[in-house]
Amino acid sequence: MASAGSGDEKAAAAAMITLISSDNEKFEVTEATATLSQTIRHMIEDGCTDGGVPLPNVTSKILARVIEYCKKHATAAAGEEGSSSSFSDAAFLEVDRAFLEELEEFDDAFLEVDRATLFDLILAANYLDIKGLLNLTCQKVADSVKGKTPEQIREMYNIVNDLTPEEEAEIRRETQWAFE
Amino acid sequence: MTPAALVDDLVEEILLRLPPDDPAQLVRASLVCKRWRRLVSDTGFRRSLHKFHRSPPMLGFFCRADGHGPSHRIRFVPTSTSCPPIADHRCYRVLDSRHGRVLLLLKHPVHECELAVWDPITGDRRDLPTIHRSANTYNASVLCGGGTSSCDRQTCCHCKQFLVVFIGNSGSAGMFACFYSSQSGSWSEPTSLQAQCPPGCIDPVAGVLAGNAVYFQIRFGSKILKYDLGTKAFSVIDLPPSCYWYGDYYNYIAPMATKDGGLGFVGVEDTRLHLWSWKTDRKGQERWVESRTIRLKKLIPVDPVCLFLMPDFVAFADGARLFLLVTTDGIFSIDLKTFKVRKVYEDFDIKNIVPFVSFYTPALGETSSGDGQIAGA
Repeated sequence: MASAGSGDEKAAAAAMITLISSDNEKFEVTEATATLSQTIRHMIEDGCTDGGVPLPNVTSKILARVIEYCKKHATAAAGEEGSSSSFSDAAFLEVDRAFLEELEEFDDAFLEVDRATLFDLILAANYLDIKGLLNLTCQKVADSVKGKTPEQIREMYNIVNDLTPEEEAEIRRETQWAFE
Repeated sequence: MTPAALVDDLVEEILLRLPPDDPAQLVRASLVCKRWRRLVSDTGFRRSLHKFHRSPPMLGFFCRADGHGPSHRIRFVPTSTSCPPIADHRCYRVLDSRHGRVLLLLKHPVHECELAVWDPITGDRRDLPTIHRSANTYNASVLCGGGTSSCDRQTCCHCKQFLVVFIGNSGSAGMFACFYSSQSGSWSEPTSLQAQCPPGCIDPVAGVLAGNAVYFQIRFGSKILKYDLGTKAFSVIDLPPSCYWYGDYYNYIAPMATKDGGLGFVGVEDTRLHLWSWKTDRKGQERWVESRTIRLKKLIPVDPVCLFLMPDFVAFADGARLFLLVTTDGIFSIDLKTFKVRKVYEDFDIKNIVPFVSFYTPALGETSSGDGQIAGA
């Protein structure tokens, strides 16, 4: 069973998929990397990937970043599968922990982008249906909002305040506890 | 650089990730613009919170604020990072709390039982019709009315309907049970439980919702009384022979819900918590299995002497899957998901502790619509 499984994995890893960005740049990725996107996974299952997968909503700049994320996390997923099917002694657990730490460091560094890129990544993660990336990027924005006043949040994200001063004053009065 | 406008779903994805145990964050976000306010006030957002975080946070706990005086009051003790203010409330005791609702016993049930369901966030209170039976020991649970596509009994999203299950022991007349449905607005005829359950002392610790049933502890005789919400029938589950209340083995026992939504119980032996679950074995026989032992001395850094526990010492919040444990060194919460322990109250001079577990979302006032945009800078 185990050897058949790893054989399949190798075959899957060898299959290459071409992704085409909105500005017509082509990216060759392994199937294992591409299928972190549920959208692309479904296309592969339906046999619609011959001649490349056009992604009209994703620019080459963002697609390159998304692929970078998927490559790293596809390796992580393969690593996890491997370790759970083999014996889990202390040495293996140690390796797992080191790998998880490395992955966390990668994610932290990956998120060091400007706000416009961060929002483009959210849109791409949503369009490509990459759960991990959507979680990571949305959490980054949520963390940036934490502890901020409404004014600071509006300023950070160019949001127009369309509440009237009266409405705002009333809400503040009703929820004074949240501003103390 | 073009601003990247996010659709509502994606703004919601972001706001969902604000820490639910710090609801002030959500309130402040709701003041950013009309669109954000509309999103977080929507009932769909509450559903999404349940789906994303699974278990709601414990915002605090209720306890009896005074002794046995003529004017009983209950007090709320906040334990989360932030919490909307909840004023003291006049009633005899809190019986249960679930999905943001609090079940109050208004008076000591000498000749009759008067209950109310209270929403401490909005202040709404619904007084239930009087049950014309006395009860010297009693218990009751408040549950979601269920039955709608968006709301089930485990993850109620603040729907309007609720159920209350009441059990009482009226001494010579024996044990009885009845249930109230907010839809009908009336109590069922009290039914005698003599056939299902030998007379016992009904434990005052809040009942537990596990699967499609609610469970109450019967103190003497080591029984757990099960009320099946589907069949509306009571039945009795025996605890393992070694697990007597104040018995050979455990000092105290309280029912709880297990990770997979089944029935469990916690038994305390000196400074150890033993967690048990009610499992079906390969032959289809249901039996108790001890699933875990927690050494309190390892988790709580206090002198073992301080771990002396009182009869009212443990409260299980089935929604949040955590315990409150009263020791002479204060009250600790033990999270069964992470086994993290936190001191939530410095003293132990309080009684009748019922955890309050709920997501908090800002209510929509006059400011109902709008299209404020979140944009990449």
